[in-house]
Amino acid sequence: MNVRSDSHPSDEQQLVQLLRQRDRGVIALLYKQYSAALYGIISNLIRDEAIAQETLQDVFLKIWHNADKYDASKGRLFTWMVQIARNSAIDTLRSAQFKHGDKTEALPIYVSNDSSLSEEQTTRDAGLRKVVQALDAQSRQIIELLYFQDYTQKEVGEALNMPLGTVKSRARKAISDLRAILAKENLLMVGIISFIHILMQHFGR
Amino acid sequence: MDVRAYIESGILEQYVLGQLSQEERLEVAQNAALYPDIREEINQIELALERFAQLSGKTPPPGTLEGILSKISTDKPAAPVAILSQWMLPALAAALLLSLAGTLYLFWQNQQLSADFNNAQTAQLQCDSLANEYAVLQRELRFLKDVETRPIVMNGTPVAPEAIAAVYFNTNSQRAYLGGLQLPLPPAGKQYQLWAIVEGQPVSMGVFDLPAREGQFIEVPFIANAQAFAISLEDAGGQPQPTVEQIYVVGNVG
Repeated sequence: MNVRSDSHPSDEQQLVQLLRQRDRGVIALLYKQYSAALYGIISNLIRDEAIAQETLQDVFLKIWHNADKYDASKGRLFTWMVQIARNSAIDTLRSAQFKHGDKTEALPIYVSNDSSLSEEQTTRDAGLRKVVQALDAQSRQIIELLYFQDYTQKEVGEALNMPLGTVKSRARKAISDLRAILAKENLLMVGIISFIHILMQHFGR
Repeated sequence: MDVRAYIESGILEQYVLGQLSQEERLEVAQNAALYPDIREEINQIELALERFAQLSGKTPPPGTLEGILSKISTDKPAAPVAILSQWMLPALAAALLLSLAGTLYLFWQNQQLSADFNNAQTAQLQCDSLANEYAVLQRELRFLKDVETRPIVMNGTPVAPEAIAAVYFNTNSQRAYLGGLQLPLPPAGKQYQLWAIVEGQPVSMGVFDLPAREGQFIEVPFIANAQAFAISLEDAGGQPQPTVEQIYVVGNVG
């Protein structure tokens, strides 16, 4: 039950190579491929659009300047970029809170509800709705907290009132479920989206 | 190691989610390097989350990319080198060096060839002139060896007792040569003129310059029935009548 990679499996290797060679053109390619995913993660944490945009720009600058720190043997390029995006967003949030002297407000816990998904994206939405519908709410929440919002498992346990051991096993179950759903959807939905992605890459946005 | 159990423990999910300590992360990375199944499992977890992130993505506001690119292009100009891959720069340098070497070699060869060509041309000219000279000498020799050729020696007059010259003439072939010239160098504006005496009257056979090479013959007009020959020193270009006091040599046809 392998989940097929987004479009071409060699894409990431090529992007990494270009990044290592300090080819500025790679930024536009990375942006096309990953900006929406990264911006989605950032705007989960930062609601202000202007600040979220600025943070995304920062993230890409960090990707550019720290390209030599990416180690392909440790994981995929996207996983590394998500780490940068998460950390940058949280840093921005902290410094903004500090500036405003608003120390009491904790990081906003992302509460799963359908309204938060009703953004303007059309093609992605169709695929996401299917996945989200198939994934139970708690699994999705756990993934979002751990993956998008950089919660520790302990923090998730506190937020969801769950023992640490349960958080760990739920996290594994959530990802397993996600993989199963994606594998099922893969041929149909993801295939169509990949096709649209390819079309968009070839004919501009 | 039980790979299956390791995968099912959930540690790989925690690895991808960044929930492990430094040592635990290192351990997973080592296991991933050792066991392809673990490596692949990690990859699949990453892909699933990546896919999920793509699906939950949100298009950034317009102008975001432009902002990034403008910030990147204003920092240190690392790009010109970066555009070339690592092996391209040395390859380019090598190609440049090679073409430079090639150019130098061709230039050097061209120099050599044009020098060779010049030498060959000079040799050719020398050859031509030698052949010419040889032909002249051959003709003179043939003329001199002819039994009909008669030399008339002209001896110095009181004006130039040391002077001597000879006219060789051949009534058969109707040709004549002036040779054996031992005359002082004429002063500027003066030239020697050769005369034939026919029926008591001097007939001009033309002016001449002393030949560059000693012993060289000068072909002169053939005059039949000459009784004597003489050479006088005259103004350059010659005179219709010889200046008697300036006759240097004279010889009778015996």
